[in-house]
Amino acid sequence: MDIILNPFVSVLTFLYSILGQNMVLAIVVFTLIVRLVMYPLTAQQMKSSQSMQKLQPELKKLQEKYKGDREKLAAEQMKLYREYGFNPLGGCLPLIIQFPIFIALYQAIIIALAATPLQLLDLSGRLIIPGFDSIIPLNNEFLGLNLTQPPAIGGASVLATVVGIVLVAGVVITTWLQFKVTMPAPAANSDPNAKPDPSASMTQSMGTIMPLMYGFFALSFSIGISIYFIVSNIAGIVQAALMGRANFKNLFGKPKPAIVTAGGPAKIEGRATGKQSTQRPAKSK
Amino acid sequence: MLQSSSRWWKRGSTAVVLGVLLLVLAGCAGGPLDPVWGSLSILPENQSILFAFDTHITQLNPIDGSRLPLRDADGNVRLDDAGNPRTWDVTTTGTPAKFFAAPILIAPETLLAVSYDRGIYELDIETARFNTAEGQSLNAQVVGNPLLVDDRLYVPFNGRNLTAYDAVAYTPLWTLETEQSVYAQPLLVENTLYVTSLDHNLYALDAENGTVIWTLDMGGAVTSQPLYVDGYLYFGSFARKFYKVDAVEGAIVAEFTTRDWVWGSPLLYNDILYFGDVSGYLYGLIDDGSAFTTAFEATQVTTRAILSTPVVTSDGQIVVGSRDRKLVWVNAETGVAEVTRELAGEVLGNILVIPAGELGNSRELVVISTLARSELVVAFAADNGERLWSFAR
Repeated sequence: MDIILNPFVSVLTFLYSILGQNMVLAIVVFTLIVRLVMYPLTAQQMKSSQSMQKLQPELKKLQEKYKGDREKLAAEQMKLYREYGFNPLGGCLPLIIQFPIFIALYQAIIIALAATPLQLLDLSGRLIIPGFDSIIPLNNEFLGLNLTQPPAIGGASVLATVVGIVLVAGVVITTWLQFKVTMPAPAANSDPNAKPDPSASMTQSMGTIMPLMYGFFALSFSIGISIYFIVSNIAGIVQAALMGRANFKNLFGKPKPAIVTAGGPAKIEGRATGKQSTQRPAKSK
Repeated sequence: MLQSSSRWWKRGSTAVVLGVLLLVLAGCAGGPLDPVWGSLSILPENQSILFAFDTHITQLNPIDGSRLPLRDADGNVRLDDAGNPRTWDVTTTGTPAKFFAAPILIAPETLLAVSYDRGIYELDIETARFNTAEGQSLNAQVVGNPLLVDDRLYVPFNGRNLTAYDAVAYTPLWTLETEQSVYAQPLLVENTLYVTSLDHNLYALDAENGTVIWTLDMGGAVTSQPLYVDGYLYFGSFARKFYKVDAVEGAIVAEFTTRDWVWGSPLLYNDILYFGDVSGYLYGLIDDGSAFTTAFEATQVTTRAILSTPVVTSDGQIVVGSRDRKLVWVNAETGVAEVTRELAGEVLGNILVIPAGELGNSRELVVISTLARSELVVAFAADNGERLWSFAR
């Protein structure tokens, strides 16, 4: 992990040094840079996720058809993936690569803020760019708030309480916004008698629980981390919008869960990924 | 009904998944569980070692490292409700306060303990109980050892100040505001209080009223208490420098460039100043007036940080603890490591040298604390590094 973490801590410190020794600005710019660098992977993942969403009706059909024959089901699923040029690992791999990077980003902020003597000591071995000795420790105060501490809601300072509430609300709202906007539109289905898709209702539950969970994180973790959450969420929304994958309609209405049909053909819309997309059957335009 | 319970089950399972994610994030945060290391001190009246770490303050028997039995006024061992002998190990009630600074003896039967996260407590030695359950509240964390002189208690705060308290009522008298935390115990010389801060400054204050006499920018954070010798202050900084400063004028008289940050205070032994840096180098410098010369070439005696002040044994060996879980006996003249002992945890806290016979111990002891719960305190024979006992909690 140090192989990612140490450069991150060094870059964050470097940004702090060139951005007027302002830790909030450094966190904002650093988060944006990491998001930008990760853009190809995020794009790949989003694309793959959308393709998967579009394949869902077909997959459901196969599941119904080969209920008792797992081997046949697997073979047919692979055939379907090949047919549409969809790589099932295409969504996982970017996620696997991104995960340690985002963990490192999160950790880098904690380490650079160095709230305790042990964290400050830890910082000493992580600065791989020389010449930062004179700016250590980084100034972890902003608007009179200590970025290393959780929001002091209900404390003695009114300003701290107000900023704390704004930050926690900011985390909850931006997490919700990002979730809603980047959530793919549910697959349409014409069968009114079909049962609700369990994965869609799971997704909806996530949409409620995740913002609350992140709100809890914001209350428990340092203010610096809350700033990272907010910037990261906003960057995620902007990124999705730039990629044309933002679904702003989700914000204004509760998306209905996808309906799984017991039978009958389901039309797959959109483009399949990969080389084979040009050889798709006529029905899937 | 079934659909509803299924929905809640799914929500519950989602919450569990996210909860696990939270634990992963927290676990991967790299942040150590303890914010700072423990401290060791001696309580001669009880012939014991005091160890303050995390939520406990413990008195240890220097002979075998066991917790001292708790005795009543007649010398009988006190028993708990189950009839078991009680030992001297204290913690506060409710959510326990954390203690990392060394408690101070303020009366024959009373210790003053300043907690990291709560406040000032008075501790009755005979009953091993806090005189006040809540203590005198403080508004910031305390990392360094407070200094008690007569009726004044000087407390260095992680929250960017040093405050002088009335040592009886614990009411604040004056405060020195700094730009960054104050980690080190302040140093009092006559009526001048010397305070170092992570804000790069060395402050000289009037100890009576806190008036700043002079301030000196050291170019890097300072985490250690200066060593005062004949009108001069000696200490290192994160600017990779070791300084000699005129204590009256507040001017740098001499400086020496180190390989890395200097965290701890120096030791003066046989006219040589010994100190370590965070890369594990040990330095031996001789003060030649307006410059330093080296007694030996800086030696990397360990691979990680040396934080605490080196100590010297009666046979003239320098002992340093390190973050790479080692305790090293070094030749005082050559700086060469002669004996190395491995430990379970990082050695960051202060090191005690207890002369033979001082606390009833037959051999001279080198006592250290580590961050590992399996051996929080370990004692070695000072002469050959033989491991004698360890204390675990």
